[in-house]
Amino acid sequence: MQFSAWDVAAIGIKAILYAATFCAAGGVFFLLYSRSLIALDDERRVRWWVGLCAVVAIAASAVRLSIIAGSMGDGFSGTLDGSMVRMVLEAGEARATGMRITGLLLIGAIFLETSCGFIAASLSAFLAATSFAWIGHAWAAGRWSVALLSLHLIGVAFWLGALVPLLLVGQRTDLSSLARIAKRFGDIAVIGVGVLLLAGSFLLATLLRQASDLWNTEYGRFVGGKLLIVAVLTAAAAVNKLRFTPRLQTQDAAAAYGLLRSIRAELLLGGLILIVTAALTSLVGPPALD
Amino acid sequence: MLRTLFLSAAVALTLATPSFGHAKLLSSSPASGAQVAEVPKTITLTFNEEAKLAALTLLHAGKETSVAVDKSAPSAKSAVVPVTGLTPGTYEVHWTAIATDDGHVAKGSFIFTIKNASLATS
Repeated sequence: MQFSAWDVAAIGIKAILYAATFCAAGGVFFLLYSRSLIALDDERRVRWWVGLCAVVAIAASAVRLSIIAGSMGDGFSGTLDGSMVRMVLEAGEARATGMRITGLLLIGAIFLETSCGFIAASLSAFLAATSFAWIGHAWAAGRWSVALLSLHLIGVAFWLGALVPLLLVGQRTDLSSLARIAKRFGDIAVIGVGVLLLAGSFLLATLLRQASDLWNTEYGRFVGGKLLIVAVLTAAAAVNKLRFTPRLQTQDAAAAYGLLRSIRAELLLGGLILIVTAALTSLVGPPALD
Repeated sequence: MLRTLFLSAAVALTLATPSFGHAKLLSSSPASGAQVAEVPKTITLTFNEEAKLAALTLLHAGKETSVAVDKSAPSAKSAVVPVTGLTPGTYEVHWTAIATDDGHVAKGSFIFTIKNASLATS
């Protein structure tokens, strides 16, 4: 079986959807723990970034439904076929996409600039980030898998989703402020990465029949590729926390340059992980569900 | 290093043979590879899990024909599709379905042959 243009489009739009949703949710989480450390101007920039990502994620959700409908029907006309879109919605997308769009719309409460607005936006960020667990392999595997994937997704949003806000603030702020923000982010990211890896490992154990599925099945090989990139990304994050962040405390300007460059590399690796995940969740089924 | 990683991922994606989720066709009537004497009035597809049939096309003598599918039918493990006007020859059936438990689109195809009536009775 060959890849069709629809498969490539479906993977591409799913990766964009993942990125925009995690960036919107991650931006809210970033403000949750660093708002007291950053200037008002920077806080506003992050709010606008969150709003932009939420709009992109809502648009990507709609485009994705059309692409799935188009892949099932008669080419491009299928993208506008209401009966096909209804079939897609009835097969679980109504639940997951509805949850995501509700979360993304309510994230807009962040613009209220009040405590209530911020709390509402934070809860909505959780809703949007975990919406991907309400359909797909984890949903088919049972409620424990949904819970594990939800934790995994929250970890992704806390870590990867906060990288752009960190970069936005880090490019403008002074060294001592950057040192404080980087330390706060590093402390939170350790928890986020821990939750992400732990929940991801347990989830993988439920989706594989045995360890050898990792190299004997197509699904396992995809996961192996993803884990390889995750290992490189985790190493880059460790360098940030253990090398650049302590040097920032000593007002080392070179460390700031190194940190920002490393964050850009992490963003590229994170994007690659999302593309592989989009392909993994679109093209191959886990062995335990066969 | 990043370039190498991107290239590796691109190669992995290109080489992967997609199985399109995990709704699979268990059986069909006419069966895959079957040679039938009577012209079938319906095509029945049986999946390993509940799914909705979204599209069915027949390829015969180089001509592709879309068969009308009831898209409002409830999801089920089997889908029965009426077909009319089939003539002797080999048919390639292409189907598309969406699994209702995980929302994944599944695609597949199989072949059956309607034997010539005179040959069938001989």
